[in-house]
Amino acid sequence: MVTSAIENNIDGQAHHHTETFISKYIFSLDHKIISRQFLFAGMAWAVLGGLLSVLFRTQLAWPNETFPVLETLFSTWYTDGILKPEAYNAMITMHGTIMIFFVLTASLTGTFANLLVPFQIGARDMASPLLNALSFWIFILASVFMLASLFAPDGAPSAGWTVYPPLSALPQTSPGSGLGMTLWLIAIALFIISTLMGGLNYISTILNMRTKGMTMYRMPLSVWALFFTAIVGLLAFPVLLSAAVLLIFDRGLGTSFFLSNIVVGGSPLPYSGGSPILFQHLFWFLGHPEVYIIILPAMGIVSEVLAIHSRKPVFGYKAMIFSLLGITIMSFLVWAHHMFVSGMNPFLGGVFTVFTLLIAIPSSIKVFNWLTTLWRGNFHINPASIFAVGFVSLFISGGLTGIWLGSSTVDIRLHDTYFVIAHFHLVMGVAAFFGMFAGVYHWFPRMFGRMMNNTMGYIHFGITFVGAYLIFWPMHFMGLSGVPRRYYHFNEFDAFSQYANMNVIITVVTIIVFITQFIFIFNFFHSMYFGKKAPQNPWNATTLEWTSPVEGIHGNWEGDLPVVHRWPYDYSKPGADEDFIAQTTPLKEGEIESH
Amino acid sequence: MFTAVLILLIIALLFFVVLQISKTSDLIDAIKKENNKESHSKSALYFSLIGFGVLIYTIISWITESKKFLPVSASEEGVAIDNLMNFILVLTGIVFILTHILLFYFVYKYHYRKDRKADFYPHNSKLEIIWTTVPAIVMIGIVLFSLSSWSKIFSKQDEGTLAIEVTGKQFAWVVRYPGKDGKLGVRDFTLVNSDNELGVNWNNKNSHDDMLVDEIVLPVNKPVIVHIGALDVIHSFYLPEFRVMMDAVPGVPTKMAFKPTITTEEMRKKLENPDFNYVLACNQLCGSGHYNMQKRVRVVTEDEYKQWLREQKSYYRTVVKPALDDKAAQDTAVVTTNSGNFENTLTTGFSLVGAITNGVENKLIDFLNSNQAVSKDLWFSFDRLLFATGKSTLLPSSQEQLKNIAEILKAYPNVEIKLGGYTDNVGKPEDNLKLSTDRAKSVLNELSKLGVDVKRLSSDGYGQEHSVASNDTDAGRQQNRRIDIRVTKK
Repeated sequence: MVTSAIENNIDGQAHHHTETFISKYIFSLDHKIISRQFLFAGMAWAVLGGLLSVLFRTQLAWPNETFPVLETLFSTWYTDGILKPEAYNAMITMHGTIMIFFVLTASLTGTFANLLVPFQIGARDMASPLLNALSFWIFILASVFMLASLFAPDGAPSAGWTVYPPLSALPQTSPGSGLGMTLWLIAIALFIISTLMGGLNYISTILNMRTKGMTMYRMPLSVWALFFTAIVGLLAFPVLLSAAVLLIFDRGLGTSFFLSNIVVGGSPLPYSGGSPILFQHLFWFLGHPEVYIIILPAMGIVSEVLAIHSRKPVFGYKAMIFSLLGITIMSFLVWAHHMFVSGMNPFLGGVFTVFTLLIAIPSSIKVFNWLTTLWRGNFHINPASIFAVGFVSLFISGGLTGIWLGSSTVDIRLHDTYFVIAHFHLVMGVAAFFGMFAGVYHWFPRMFGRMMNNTMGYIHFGITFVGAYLIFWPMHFMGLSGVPRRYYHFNEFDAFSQYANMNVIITVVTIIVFITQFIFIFNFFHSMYFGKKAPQNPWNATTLEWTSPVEGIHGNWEGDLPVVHRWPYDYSKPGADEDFIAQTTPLKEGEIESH
Repeated sequence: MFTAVLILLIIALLFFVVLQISKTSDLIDAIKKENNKESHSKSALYFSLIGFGVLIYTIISWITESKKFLPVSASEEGVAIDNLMNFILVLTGIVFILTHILLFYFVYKYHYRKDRKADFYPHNSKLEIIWTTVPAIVMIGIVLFSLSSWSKIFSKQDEGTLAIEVTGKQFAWVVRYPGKDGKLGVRDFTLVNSDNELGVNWNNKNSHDDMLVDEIVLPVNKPVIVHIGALDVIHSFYLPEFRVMMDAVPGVPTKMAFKPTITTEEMRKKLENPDFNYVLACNQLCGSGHYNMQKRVRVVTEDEYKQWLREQKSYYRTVVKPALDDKAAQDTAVVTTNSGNFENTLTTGFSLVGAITNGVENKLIDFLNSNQAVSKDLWFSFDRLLFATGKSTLLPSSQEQLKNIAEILKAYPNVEIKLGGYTDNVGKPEDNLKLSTDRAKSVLNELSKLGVDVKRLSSDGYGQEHSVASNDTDAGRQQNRRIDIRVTKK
């Protein structure tokens, strides 16, 4: 068994020193406030990332049209009303960077780890509230640099979010690889520092600050998922940091880590002995675990939300934990499946095919367990619960195509085509957003003490869910027709231009889905002030966060910390009056604790 | 602008509508007391309808759109890739449909009703073992299938009888075919210049019959191995119809072998498209022109291929050699940038150090070996002499070339030479004249120190006269500041 929890020794009473607006809401050390800060920052980034996708989708749908309006708004990126090719590359680069790092890594984990870890394990705050606040403010500093890179005078970074050298290393090859790329690399380095601070804090909090009775096997799956996420981040991000630093050396100090035998515009450059493939190994050593950093918290949220709203214990609690563990370990053994046709030794391709396809096993366990959780449940329909079901659907759809791409042989045909875009947007892009939405709708009452509007939630879900399939499903077809990704337009190739109409449809749906997100944002801020007041435990959930006062007090609980007596999934347990038994309720005589 | 405003107005209106509907529904909920609803059957029905609608869309669209997918593979390897892909399509398709039916059905079937309680069903080891082992077995099957075709595709790589080379650069492909010897000349990126884009080493005899061609032409049913490279950034060699893809990486040579099985003509008939062409595209983001890096690929019969091959010309013989000859014949040779090493061992046994193809040593020896008569107008420029700025002092780095020239003169003992000094037009003409005279004299003294009899040497300064390039640019002025050498007696 695991170590017994240590009782928190922080004084449970509200602290009596005076708090100004700035100390309470801006430079706050309270996990609840930092959680909100990460959520607000993530929403701002997501709007920008989404806007960029609307801009480049507009180019793909109407490559021959001019858009004087857009030129007035974004004059540096357009000439004669047409998006410049290098600006197109910059849009896709920044869209990827923003969505993957700033929204789905920093904000998703930042929001829910900060909110749920102390609440659900019964702690008054994080192990180090200061480190926690620093993690957020360094993230903001990284955000400032990343935003600045978008407006670099020579051009925003445009080498793709994977920033493969030599393209990212040599400004001669791409205008965005000048100052823009320097700012990008600084931003990512700061971002990694912020992520590491957060991760260390989550791990130490979970290991050391569980309340009395909260054994590891009594933690909700959301906490387990955030725990593994933090471990993956802690082990993977430093490798990206080293890649970024070596790339900075190659760019600025004339080293040759990633560069060799390069001729630009007819002049040989003095680099020798480096290898661009080395960068790819370092990048993807983070890059692949990164997609699990994004999806694990969403899996945790969805497991929790599905169980609560079907009024049933999550099926196979321990199998869920061990499949998370399996994914965590195997996430470090699959990175080179991004490099099957990069020129690395084909033998390696074979090895990575084996590991990549084996990671499908823990993933399928999770899917079957979610399905069984729904089976014979009493499923409450609300925005949180249907976003969770939507997550399962998207995860299945995108996950299955992962088997296609995980086979090195099939990857020869599909690598870097639109099939890949369809795959990863469904499985870790939109799916992770769905997990995040499910979490926000579910824990909004915990965050703000009010309920969100359901009707707007349903509209938000309906359009986003159908839209996600209308946008990304046809991209499978484009990929199977050989259409390559990251093309500015397809007019030059007969074979690739047959999807002109499809591109228009996809773009129109993209714009509709983008606008729909403002319904969510409106609902969010409107409900924050005018929503129905939330009751103490609006979903009749068992976990500890719903025992803390609705208004959110410093230290989370007045008086002593709650004591835990059972696992978090006693829903509809036979013999109980209600269809849930809170974790704080002692076992009845003769009652057996389920796991 | 008008349309933009209109669109914004419509969006604002829609928002207003959504807000009103939401508020009303809140009120209705309050009246009905939603929390006491008997069941969620209506909302569950709507949700399941959306879900099944999406499922039906995914299946039907796949079937109708599949006619647009890539045609049957035009290479032998591609057939294996497609077979495996179709196998995975069937397996994952079944799982996709079944899991989605269950997912949306469960939501509807087990939606909330006030009077019932969910089953308390925390786990079932048997079930969990089943859905761990079944996927594991399926995955192992796919792994084995995948690995066997993967190793077949890559084990063929050395059997290619025809080896061609494709090099990516921003934003075009350079294609090189070997000549009769079947071998491509070696390359060195430091040799790249405007006449030698790939940096081919012309001293390597294999390079002399290599051809640079405008399109990739391949004989049908013959294995081909493509050596792939890049000059500047990473590109990717992508032939969709052949299911061929491999990155082109600067500094890391890659290769891909395949066997085309369908000629362009046959494919045109198959697709009923007389304009169809195979095409090479780039599939790795390489900069602003990435979307348009294409090269035509033609698969033809063996005879047509041989015919085409005969029409192609050696790049060395048609372009490089004539240019070299031209340069050698020019009255006043100019300083050129490095291009290839010139290796030569003199009859005295001395090997020239650091000499290059277009360098003064090569030109001098060529002239001395030729039948060409001595001429007052035939001057060769030193290319590696450096003086202290504004002075006649030779810098130490000049020693290598001076030593070469001295040794050449020793190997040809009858030869006498004249050294001429020149400057650009910056400064006073009389100062320039003096400087050029001093510098020529200084070279003469050095050659004498290196053991050449002073009687065989003469020198003169010409100041800013006889310029060989424009004095309007830095580069031109640099070329004009020079020491030339003229053979006065052979």
